[in-house]
Amino acid sequence: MKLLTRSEEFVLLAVWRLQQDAYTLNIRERISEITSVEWSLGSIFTPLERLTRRRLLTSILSGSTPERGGRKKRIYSLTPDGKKALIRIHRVEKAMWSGLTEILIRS
Amino acid sequence: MTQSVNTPPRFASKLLSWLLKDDWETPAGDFEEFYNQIVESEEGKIADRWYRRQVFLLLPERLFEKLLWSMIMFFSHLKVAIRTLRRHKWYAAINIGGLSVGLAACILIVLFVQDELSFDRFHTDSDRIVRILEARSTPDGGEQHFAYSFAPLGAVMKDELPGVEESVVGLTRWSIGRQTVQYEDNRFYESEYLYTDGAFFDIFDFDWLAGNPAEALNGPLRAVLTVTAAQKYFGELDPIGKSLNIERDGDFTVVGLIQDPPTNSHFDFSMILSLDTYRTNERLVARMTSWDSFGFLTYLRLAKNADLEAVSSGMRSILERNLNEDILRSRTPYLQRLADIHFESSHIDFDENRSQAQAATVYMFSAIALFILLIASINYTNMATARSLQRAKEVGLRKTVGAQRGQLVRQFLAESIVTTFSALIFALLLARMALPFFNQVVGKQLTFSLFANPWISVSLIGLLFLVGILSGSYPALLLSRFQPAIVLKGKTIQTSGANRLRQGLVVAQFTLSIGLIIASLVVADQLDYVQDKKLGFNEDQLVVVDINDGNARSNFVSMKNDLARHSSVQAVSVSSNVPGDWKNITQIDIASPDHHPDQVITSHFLGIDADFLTTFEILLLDGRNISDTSLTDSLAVLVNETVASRLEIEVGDRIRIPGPSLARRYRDQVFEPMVVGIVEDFHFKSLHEDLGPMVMGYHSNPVDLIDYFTIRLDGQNIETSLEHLTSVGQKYDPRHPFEYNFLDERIADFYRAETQLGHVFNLATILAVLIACLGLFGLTAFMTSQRTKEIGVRKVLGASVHSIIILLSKDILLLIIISFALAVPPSYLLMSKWLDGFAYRTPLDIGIFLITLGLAVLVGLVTVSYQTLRAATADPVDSLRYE
Repeated sequence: MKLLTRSEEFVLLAVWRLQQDAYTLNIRERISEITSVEWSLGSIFTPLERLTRRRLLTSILSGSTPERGGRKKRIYSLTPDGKKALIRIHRVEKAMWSGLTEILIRS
Repeated sequence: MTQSVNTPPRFASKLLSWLLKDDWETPAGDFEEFYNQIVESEEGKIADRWYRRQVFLLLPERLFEKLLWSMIMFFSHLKVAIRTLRRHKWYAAINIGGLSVGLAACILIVLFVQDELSFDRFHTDSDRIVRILEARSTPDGGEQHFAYSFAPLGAVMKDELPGVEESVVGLTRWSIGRQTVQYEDNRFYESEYLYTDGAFFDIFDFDWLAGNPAEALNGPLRAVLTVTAAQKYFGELDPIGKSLNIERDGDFTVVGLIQDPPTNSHFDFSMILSLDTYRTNERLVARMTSWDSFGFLTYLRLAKNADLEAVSSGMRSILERNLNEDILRSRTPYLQRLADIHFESSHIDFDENRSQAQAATVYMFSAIALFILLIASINYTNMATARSLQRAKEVGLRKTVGAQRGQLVRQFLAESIVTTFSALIFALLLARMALPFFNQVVGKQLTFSLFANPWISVSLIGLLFLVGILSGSYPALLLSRFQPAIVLKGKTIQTSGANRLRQGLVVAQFTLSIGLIIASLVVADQLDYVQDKKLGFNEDQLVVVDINDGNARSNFVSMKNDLARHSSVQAVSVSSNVPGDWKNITQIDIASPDHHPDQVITSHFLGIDADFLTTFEILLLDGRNISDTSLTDSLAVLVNETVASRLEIEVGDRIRIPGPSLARRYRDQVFEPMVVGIVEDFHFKSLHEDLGPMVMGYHSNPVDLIDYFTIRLDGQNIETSLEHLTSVGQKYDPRHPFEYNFLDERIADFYRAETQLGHVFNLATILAVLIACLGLFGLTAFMTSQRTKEIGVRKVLGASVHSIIILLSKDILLLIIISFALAVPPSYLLMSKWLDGFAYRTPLDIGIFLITLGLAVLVGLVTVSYQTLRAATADPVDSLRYE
């Protein structure tokens, strides 16, 4: 299976963390906060769609609010495959970093 | 939450909803919520800009996707439509056949209507050109209308009224008569000429092939020919500079060559001659400037934005200043727009190219086209719904695998458009093939080319979608409504509302068809009546010869004798006009000096000889015939019954004809001949008009010269008879070509418009009934297939074939009777109005309606018989096997 890209990874992590509140705007806000970079809406939509298609995410429709013009939110959640993919990328990253973290901090 | 909600820019938000239509709710909601966040944190402007930018960035990708999918779906729909048509060849054939016949009829009629509506519109300034007409009051309170008026009026209007930019006068055959025109050996008798000035070409646009329009008509004896005339006289030779001899005026030099006026023009001239020719003659110059003049065509071009009313009132004040009171009272010029000449000239009594066209005919033809198209479209609707049971499973399956209703609607619409498209192809071929025949019927030279006129292609495409959507939308909506769970279980679908609508459509079809049947029967009836009506004289086997020469006129007695010297000639007569002839018969004022000297009536007048009554077989009721040999009979007249009863005249009384009614030389006299005989009324005019008073005088009389020979043949050997007549004619008048006409043919010309209408009605009726029957056939198929099980059960329980046929036909019968009831009142009203256009008309017989009803019922029952018989004789085992 293909490895996750960075943005996919970020989105998956944000969804996991946000739980019941994981919809597009919150995901974007969370990622922007942590990375200190303004992510556009489009840059969130694309990974969300791709992940949904790869069945790493599922979604349900939930309640609407007036500032959305009465439209429903789509709340995302991780599938077991999604969790596996995250664990896998984490393992890969750890392996890539192993032994290098100390050197990086020292220099 | 208490915060105020902000809405994003309207257009952008609409666009976004459309772009994200397939799954638009969440992303669009996200955009809007984010927009609100920006509004709260920053200014609204930035938020608006951001929102628009988002939409703009989405645009190309989403559009491409949408286009791609709609193409994919389009080809898929196309494929399915073609497959369906192929699989149900029988249905496809009926559908396409009906539609193509309907469309072909529609195309032809549209060509006709377009031609009619385009009359005289091709001149650049056509909306500003008017002509001057004149109304004259007659002593008995009537009015006569002329296309001619005072000579100086136009020029004075141009000088004095700011609203008149240009004016031109013209003289035609109506004022001058026909003339022989000759180049070397090519000699013809011409009436299609026009004497006019150069301003004519300034006002009207023609295609010039040679010559200079600005100078062509400056100076006497100059001629501009149309291509047709040039070929007629000069053949292949270059006409420019050649000289053409015209009987009255001498040798004209040809200085210009123009294309023939288009057929959709009220002009019918073939040569234009310089009016300056007449300005060399002092007497004629005096006539052309006199306010006593008459017989001049006048066209004006108004200034841009000029008010026709203002010009009219200006014209009235000019007339009031220049005319004496008598003339002012009796002669009233008025204006007619160029665009109105074609449709609004039938009231004009004297106009050599008067148009008999009526806007009503165009409306009627358009209505017929629309009816046929409607009937054909309804057909498709009915056939498609008749097939809906077979399509139900397909719909159910499509829905199960995820088709949305909109997609199904589009699929079925695609099917109807594909059907219409194939029908259109056939229709174009059909129209092409039928065009010569159609031209013959309507008396036009219409041409049909897809590419010559871009509007034709555009309107054909419009027609395609109109008919496709009109006929396909109902089946599409009906079929797409099926619930997959129900249809896939094989349950019968209850569509009682749809059923009623379908029956309503059949009623609509049959109402239109029955209306057309009634109309065509009435028209045929009236034409029969007109042709069979006793005219009071016998018009068969009469040959009319026009006298064009003084020699023939003065030697008419010996010419008569020579004409009669052939075994096939039964009688010969001379007269000033011919009853039933196409030309205007002279009119005079008459009074009865003995009984009612003050009561003046307008009467027609014929100069005749002693053989007139026998030649025309007119019945003498009282008194005696005029004698050619008795000199005292030059003061004798015959009158018809109408004159006798209106003026209470008896044989032996005198009538008075005042000076103004007499020929120019006798204007200062009063003619008071004695009535020696009273003849039975005969129809010397068309049956559209009331039979009026008629006075017939001696062959040499102070009113009118003899102008015609009428010969009664025995009808045995027409060709040798005509050869004989021609040789005698040439002997007495070698200078003019010999011309003859059969009177019955000329009389038939009176009813050309009606005959034309009759043909179109007959054709339209046949087509309409044919197409409607196809539709009925489809509906019966639907109804019987729906009732298969019912019929099966009935048969099992002992119903006979006979009773089932009655059961099934009853419904159709009811529909036809309802249609009939709906069709009768409007067609009765319309047709009695049409008949009112004739002074002599057939009664609107109840028989016609009964025949129509019988016909409709018969045709309807025959059409359904195939389906009902099949259903009634079917084995119930087949229909009940699965119960």
